[in-house]
Amino acid sequence: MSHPHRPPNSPAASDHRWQDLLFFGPVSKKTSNKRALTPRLLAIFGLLLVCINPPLLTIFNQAGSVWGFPVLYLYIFAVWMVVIVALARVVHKYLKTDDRDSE
Amino acid sequence: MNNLGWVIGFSLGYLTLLFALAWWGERRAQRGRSLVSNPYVYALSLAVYCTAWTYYGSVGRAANNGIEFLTIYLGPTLTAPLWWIILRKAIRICRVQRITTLADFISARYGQSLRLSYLVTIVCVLGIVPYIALQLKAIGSSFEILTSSSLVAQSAGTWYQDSSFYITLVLGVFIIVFGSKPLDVTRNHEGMVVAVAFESIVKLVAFLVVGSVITFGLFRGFGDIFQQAQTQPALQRLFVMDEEVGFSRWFWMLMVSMFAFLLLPRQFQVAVLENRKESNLRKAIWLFPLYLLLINIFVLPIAFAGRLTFPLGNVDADTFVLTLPLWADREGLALLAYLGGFSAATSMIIVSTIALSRMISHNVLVPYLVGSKPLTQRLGNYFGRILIASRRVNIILLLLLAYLYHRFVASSYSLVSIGLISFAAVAQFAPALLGGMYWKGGTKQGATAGIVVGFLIWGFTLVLPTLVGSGLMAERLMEEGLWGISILRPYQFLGLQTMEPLAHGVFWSLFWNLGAYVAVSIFTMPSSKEQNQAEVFIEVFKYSEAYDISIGWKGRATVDEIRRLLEQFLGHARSQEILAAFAQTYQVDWNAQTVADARLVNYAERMLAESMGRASARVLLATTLKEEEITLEEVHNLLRESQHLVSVNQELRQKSEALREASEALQQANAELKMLDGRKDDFISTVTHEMRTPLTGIRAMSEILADNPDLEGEERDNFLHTIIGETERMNRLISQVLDLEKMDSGKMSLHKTRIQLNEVIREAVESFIQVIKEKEIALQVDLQGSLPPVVADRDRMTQVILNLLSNAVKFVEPGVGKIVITSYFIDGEIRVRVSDNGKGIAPEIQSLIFDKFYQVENQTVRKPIGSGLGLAICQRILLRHQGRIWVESTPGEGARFSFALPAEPIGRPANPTAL
Repeated sequence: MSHPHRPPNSPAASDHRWQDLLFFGPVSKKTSNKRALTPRLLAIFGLLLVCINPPLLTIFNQAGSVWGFPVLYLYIFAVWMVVIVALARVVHKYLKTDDRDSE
Repeated sequence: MNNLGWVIGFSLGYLTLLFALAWWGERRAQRGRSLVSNPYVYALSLAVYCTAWTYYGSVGRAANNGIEFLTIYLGPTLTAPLWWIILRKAIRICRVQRITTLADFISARYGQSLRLSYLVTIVCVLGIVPYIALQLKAIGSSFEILTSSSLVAQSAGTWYQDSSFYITLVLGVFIIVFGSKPLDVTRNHEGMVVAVAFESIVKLVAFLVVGSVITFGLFRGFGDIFQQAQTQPALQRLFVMDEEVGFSRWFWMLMVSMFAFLLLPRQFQVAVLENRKESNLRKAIWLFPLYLLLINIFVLPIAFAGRLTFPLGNVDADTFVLTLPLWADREGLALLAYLGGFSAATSMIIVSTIALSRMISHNVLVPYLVGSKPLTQRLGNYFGRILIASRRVNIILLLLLAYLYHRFVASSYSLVSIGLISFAAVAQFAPALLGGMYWKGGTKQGATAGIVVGFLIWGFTLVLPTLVGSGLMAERLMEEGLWGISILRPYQFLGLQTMEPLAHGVFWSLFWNLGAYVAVSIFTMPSSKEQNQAEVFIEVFKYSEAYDISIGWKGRATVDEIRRLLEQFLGHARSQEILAAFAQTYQVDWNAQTVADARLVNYAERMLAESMGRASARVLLATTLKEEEITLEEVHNLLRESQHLVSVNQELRQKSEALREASEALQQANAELKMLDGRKDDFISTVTHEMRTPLTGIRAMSEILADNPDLEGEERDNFLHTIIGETERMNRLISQVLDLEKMDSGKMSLHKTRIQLNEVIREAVESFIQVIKEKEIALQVDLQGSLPPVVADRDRMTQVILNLLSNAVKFVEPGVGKIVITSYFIDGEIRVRVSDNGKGIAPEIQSLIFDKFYQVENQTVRKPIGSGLGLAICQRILLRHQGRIWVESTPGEGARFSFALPAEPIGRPANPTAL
């Protein structure tokens, strides 16, 4: 009996990659290194840039309120919070405290 | 109400507390327990970004323009993911190059250009002074509001009646005592950073407390405020952005605050120059955006609350944070609000003036002074004092300049507009600075052109209108344009009419700035010094280890000259220290060496740069030593060489490490092999010994039989029986040894079928009944009915049970012995237990008795009868069945051997394949 080997681009394998990209999946020890950090940070930057600028912003630019908060106000704070959580997760996952410092 | 005494007391008390904190921080640093290397302190110190502008101005902005104020905080948040990329590089560059100011950074990148360093300093001063003025204005008007009886700020009378004048003076004295230490040995201001971090906590807490009291005390929560605001058309308008003007403003304000966060002198000071550990960015990257989010949560509610409470519009929205608590007669809260605003303003003023005063001395004054050789020689011994005095004078001058701006220009403008103009000013450094960090092609001329052009357009489109607004310039200019040329109108520059003033100014200034930087850079050739610096800046991560060895200098100088220079500017003690450190690092003997090599010159330059700035140090060395231009080729070769050395070294280290590891592994394997070999020897000798005993018996008896053919029948039968018994014993031993060998080498094949263990037990017991009767042992069989089946090799299971039974029989005393055999089902497995009341097994050997080696090694102790291999065989059989075997025993009271096998899951047929 042999263990079933997944081809590298089977759906399950790419799921894992997606999770990595979205910063919520389990990341194996082997992939946590500093090299993986920069593209993820750039991705967060790009996402935030797009989310808080028109045309995406125009979708939420409307009068009215959700749960008592103005829509636009709520939207921006929600995006903001998500970015903070994503940054914290990514940075702490890919940067270890013992990184060498020159001083 | 007259709070004058209270307010003054609180403000002075607060300043004293700051001073004490700074002093404490400095002390700790001297003892090597720096607080600044703490990531939380670092993240908090970045919050010097939030000034009185945030504290009062955001609310004012929100009350008039809705949520647009958020761009100023979203901008820095947007940069946060890039800190690890950009800020870390800037930090590393500053550390390697011993850079002390923002102007140093830009001028160093473009070949230590003095002209650039003047230019950057001028732009910074002109751009930041209004911003400082803004803080003074905020302190002044909050002071007025708190001490007067009206909620509307009174315009001050003459300067000696103006409270902000006195505040300026007090702050000036405070900062001088606080920030300009005697000729700093290091470039860091530990005390300042600690105080600023503390102020960040104060303003955040104050704002959150005031915000929640207003939201939940004066109103009934967020929902209530927003609901009430929605009923008023004037406020409802603020819920959304104007699609045409609002979005372009939004975008450009985001851009400008992104750049401002990185390039404001105070931000550069705390984020880059005062950074002690690059890894502190790790926490700051998310903590700082979190700080910004928290401090902004209550801005819009307070703004709406203010508009709802003062519907007439006679109360300035910039003061809502103070006037709302006062209106509700909560004076304690108002005082807290004042304190928060005061801390926000003072932290900005402290860091900005210290950074700017350094910039003026290091990048303008000192280079000018040391630029002429005779002057240097005359000033030399007083140099330290001159440097400190100049920094102090700078601080006072900056504050006075800010005060004048505040009195004559700023009063007619709201807080945020002035702040944004400052932001736009420092954004002009973006192309030269960021470009310089990533593009090797950028040249000094390009950087100069970019900054000059950007600065001029900034002044024309953003500053000029404020002068017109305060009546210092003719109104005509705005409508007809400069010299009556209509495309030179400040708000419609080059005929661009669709953008609102701020976006318009930022766009045009950055557009021409970037254009000039790139275009001029392409058409000019960088000097070799510039190329050298570009290489070192852009590849800083590659060279930062090698830089000490690299050479950016060529010329002739003696050690004595360097020594004199250091003594003149840094004092005798410090220069001794520096030279000793150098000698130790590079193994140099000063008595033997008279000619200063490039390493020493570089080292001295960097040490001088720490206390007087990089530009100054460069000028000083250039005027006192004979210098030759170094070609780019030489620089590259040297860098490559040292880089190569570093990497070769590393490779060697890695290889020897690998070798060491390999030999260790080999040694370990060898030791293991030796031990195994020894055990094998023991095993063989024991087995042969075991064989020899029966063999000797058989031989002796056969000889007797052969020698005495006339032996009596009964005796003969006796001998023959013994012979048969002994051969059987030998046979058993041999088959057991073979069995073990098979199992250990994995050749044992199992014929697994579904079996009922109870049946196997009963059969085994039956075949044993004779022996038990002979020895008069009591046997109790206690089997649980309806056990689930197991998949196992029947013969092997029989072997296990027989082994355990015979073991038990061996150890009990005939006549009193008792053996109990039990089977039961628990936790998905079937367990069989054989207990006896023999002499038991000592606890220390209980875990060892299943080891074949152990048994033979301790033959004499353990084994009275038999080969002793039985338990080892049992264990191997059970392991092959995914089962286990263990023993519990109290010496003197008997032993209980148990084994467990996983039960066959119900409903699945057995798989009779041989494994």
